[in-house]
Amino acid sequence: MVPLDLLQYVTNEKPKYYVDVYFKTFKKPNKNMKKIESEKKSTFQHFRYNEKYYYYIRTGGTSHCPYERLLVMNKKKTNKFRLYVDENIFRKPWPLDYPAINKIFRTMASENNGLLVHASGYVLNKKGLLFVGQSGAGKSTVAKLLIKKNIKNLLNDERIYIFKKKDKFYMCSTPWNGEVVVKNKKICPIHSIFFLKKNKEKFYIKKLNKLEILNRLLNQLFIDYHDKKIISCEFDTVDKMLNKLKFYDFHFKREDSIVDYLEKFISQSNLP
Amino acid sequence: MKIDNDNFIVRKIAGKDIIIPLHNKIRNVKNLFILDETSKLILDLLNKNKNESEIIKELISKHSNKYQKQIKVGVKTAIKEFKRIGIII
Repeated sequence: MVPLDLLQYVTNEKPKYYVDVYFKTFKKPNKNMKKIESEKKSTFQHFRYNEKYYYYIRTGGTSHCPYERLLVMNKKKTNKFRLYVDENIFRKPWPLDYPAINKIFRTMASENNGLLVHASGYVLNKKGLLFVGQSGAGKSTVAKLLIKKNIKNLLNDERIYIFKKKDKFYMCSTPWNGEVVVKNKKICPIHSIFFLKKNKEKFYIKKLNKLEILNRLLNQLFIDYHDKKIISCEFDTVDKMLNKLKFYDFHFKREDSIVDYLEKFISQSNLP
Repeated sequence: MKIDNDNFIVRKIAGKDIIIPLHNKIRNVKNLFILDETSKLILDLLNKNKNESEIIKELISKHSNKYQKQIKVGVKTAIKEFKRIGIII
């Protein structure tokens, strides 16, 4: 049994989630199960049957030897997962290898008023800044420029967990990093969220309206679009984020002066 | 024509009533349907199992015969959009 907790990653809180892992042959999903999601490359397929969700995973994301797994989640008891791992494999992998851990983490996040976002996070002058963008948008580039000031202030350059506690949004790292490997356990209130865009000539920050924010944000959130309860929680959190946080378009050039530019910007903004 | 209530939820986001279709990854707001007052009413009527002509009739009675043409176009467009995002089966 593997105990898990969202904040176990960054705190010493008692875990609320458990995954029972079985190394054994398991029954594959059959035609009685309703297929509700399938990835283009068929890495995993998602089924629903008798109040249970089944994620049939056909390969290990980071493993060189592909293997099959079945992640089972009960709709009513979402704090317990069962994970069957094909026993006929050459080498025992870490059972929660991608995409199993992602699926579990996403479920836990949404049930805790949280969201996983494709972003890098940095704490500049005690203020949490989130840099959101798709692959290639510059999350790692910005992170590499900012760590020249202080590497200890980088949370993560690939995925950030955002959560709400007592009317305030916080951010912290996740087990997934990009080009910069940092194990930072800081939790920091979010000051501003920037959507990244590379610019060869200048730094430029533009305020966005709510629909523009929603449009940019949806593409970068890891949301499960299959369960009414989960998706309702996730979109309630998105709505609260839109009302509570400040979002900007951030055009940046690849220069060390990004630190000065951002310091000046946050000191001038009226946010607490 | 039937509303598939298992296939979507309606949520107030950014001050607007938005239809969120389930089971598909939503890449951007083009995949969402923002409900205005009329389309919300059309959705309510579809939920009461009214068909297209019944909806048009009800909307005309609520407004005026003067807007008959606009109402017809509006209802047809809304139903087409609901079909596109998969909430009508």
